Amino acid sequence: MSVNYNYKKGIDNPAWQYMAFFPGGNSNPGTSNMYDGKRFIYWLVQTGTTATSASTTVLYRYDTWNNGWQYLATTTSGNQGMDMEYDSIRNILYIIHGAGFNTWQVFNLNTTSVNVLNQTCAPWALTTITTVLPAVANVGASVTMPQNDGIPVQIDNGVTAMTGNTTTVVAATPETGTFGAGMVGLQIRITSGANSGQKRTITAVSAPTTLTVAPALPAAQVGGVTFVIEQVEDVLTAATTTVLTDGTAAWPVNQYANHDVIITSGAQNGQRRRIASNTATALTLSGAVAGNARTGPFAGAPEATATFKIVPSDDFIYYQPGGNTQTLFRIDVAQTTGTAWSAALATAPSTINGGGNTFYPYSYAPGYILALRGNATNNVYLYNIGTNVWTSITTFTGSETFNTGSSSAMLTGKRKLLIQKEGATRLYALDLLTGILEPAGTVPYAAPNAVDGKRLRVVTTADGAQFLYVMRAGGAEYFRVPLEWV
Amino acid sequence: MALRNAFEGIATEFTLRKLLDQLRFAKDSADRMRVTIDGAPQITVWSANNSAGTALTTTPAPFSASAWNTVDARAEMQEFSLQNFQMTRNRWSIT
Repeated sequence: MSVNYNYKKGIDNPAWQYMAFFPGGNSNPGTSNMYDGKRFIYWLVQTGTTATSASTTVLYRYDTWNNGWQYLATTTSGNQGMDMEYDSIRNILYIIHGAGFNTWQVFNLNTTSVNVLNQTCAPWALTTITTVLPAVANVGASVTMPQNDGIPVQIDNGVTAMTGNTTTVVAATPETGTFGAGMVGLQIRITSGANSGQKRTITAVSAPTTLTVAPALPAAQVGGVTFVIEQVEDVLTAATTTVLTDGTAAWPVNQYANHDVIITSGAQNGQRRRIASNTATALTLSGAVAGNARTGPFAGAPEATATFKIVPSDDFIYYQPGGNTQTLFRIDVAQTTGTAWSAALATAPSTINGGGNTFYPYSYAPGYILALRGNATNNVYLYNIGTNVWTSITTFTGSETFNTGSSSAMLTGKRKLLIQKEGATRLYALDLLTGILEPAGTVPYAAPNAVDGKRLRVVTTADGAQFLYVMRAGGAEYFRVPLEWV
Repeated sequence: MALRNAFEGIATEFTLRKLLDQLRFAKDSADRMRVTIDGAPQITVWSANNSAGTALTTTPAPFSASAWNTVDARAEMQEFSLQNFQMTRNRWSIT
């Protein structure tokens, strides 16, 4: 399904719509939301106080099909730094309370109990997690969970340009070249011409039209050749229960750590295991983690010529504590005995504070976590889940910066970040490939308060129409706009 | 307002009918809210929340005896923006 809005640029402006206001109260410091990808947007809102101390916090869900609201729970009182993540595999919500607390809860949306984090979470109820956060959550804190069920089979495609191609460089036409640094580690598969069927790993993206691949192609590409970009999927050349080898590969070292490998043919077909590390040609599996069947060695060796694919693990949730910190942590939610947060991972290039947020860019950079720094800057970072390395994305934002009260949401398919400036109705789209910030419309009604929260959400309908939903900081007003020109 | 002043500023269904006989439509939005006119759009009943998010579920504000046109502007915008959206939505093609 696809939607054509049939609007004329420069003539038609996007039609903002006032939706049913949030019925729980005003969106004070401490607000977050998550979309379940199908129907509901879950809203976690601190309604009790305009100050920055913990107060009454309610969980509602908004029905994008009928403009209705449902009251689900009153959570532990929170405030700024509050965040929420939806786990689409387990159908639960993770809620961190912010306000300088290290507490967090799970709301189970199933009608049966779910076991996560070594606890049994009763259906349709909140469960307070006994393994507390590794650092207190303050302004700009966030939790993010890679989830591979949303990753498209084909992440992108392109057509080669007439010039610039070599055996290791694939140069795309300007029209089809929409590639970014988050594609390093993905696979390019040539789908026409003399190299048709060849698969290579993307090792660098020096421009939105330029991919560096390894190992070298048998011959330089000619112009007009089609190719697709997808997750790594290839054929093994050797296998044991703990090490899988693809002698034809030239992978970036450790790019696939904390990912899972799935065997897709022969013995162990369908089995999935966590990767601890990788060399250019070999994947080494992690040791067994109590309670997580997707860890440890295979029960038997896969066939030496088995097909396999590599996907991000969806057992880890990542936590960035905000409050002028650079740290990042992760925890295996499936682990039972010994459930614990990791030691601090690599530190972000600089401190994340008010307006900060982290995202999982599943349909652009599935091996990465994207971070907006906030803290009165325009900095954007990519964290490589496998190599544990942060990189900065060069941005061109003019004099705009983002601080406490800014809200942000990923527009994953278009590799853009939508950002509302704190205390303002100005809405922006940051192109993650070019780094250029552009206006993305103006939120109607009164300017919001510059108070912490995550109040934007992009919703793609079953028909392919895209809307941005916005809650007003400091109020209960709730809007949506179709994303026509973004 | 001249005609309306002739009826001492009070538009009743009876007096409005006289107006309508000449104009075939209500003179202004306030009049339209007080009568149902054959063939004209139905009266819009606003629903609203106050600033704290509490639904105003008592007498619909436009018809309140004491303050008859004090409906929350945001509630009016809900209706106007919906109509505006539906007009633009009519142009979409979904294939």
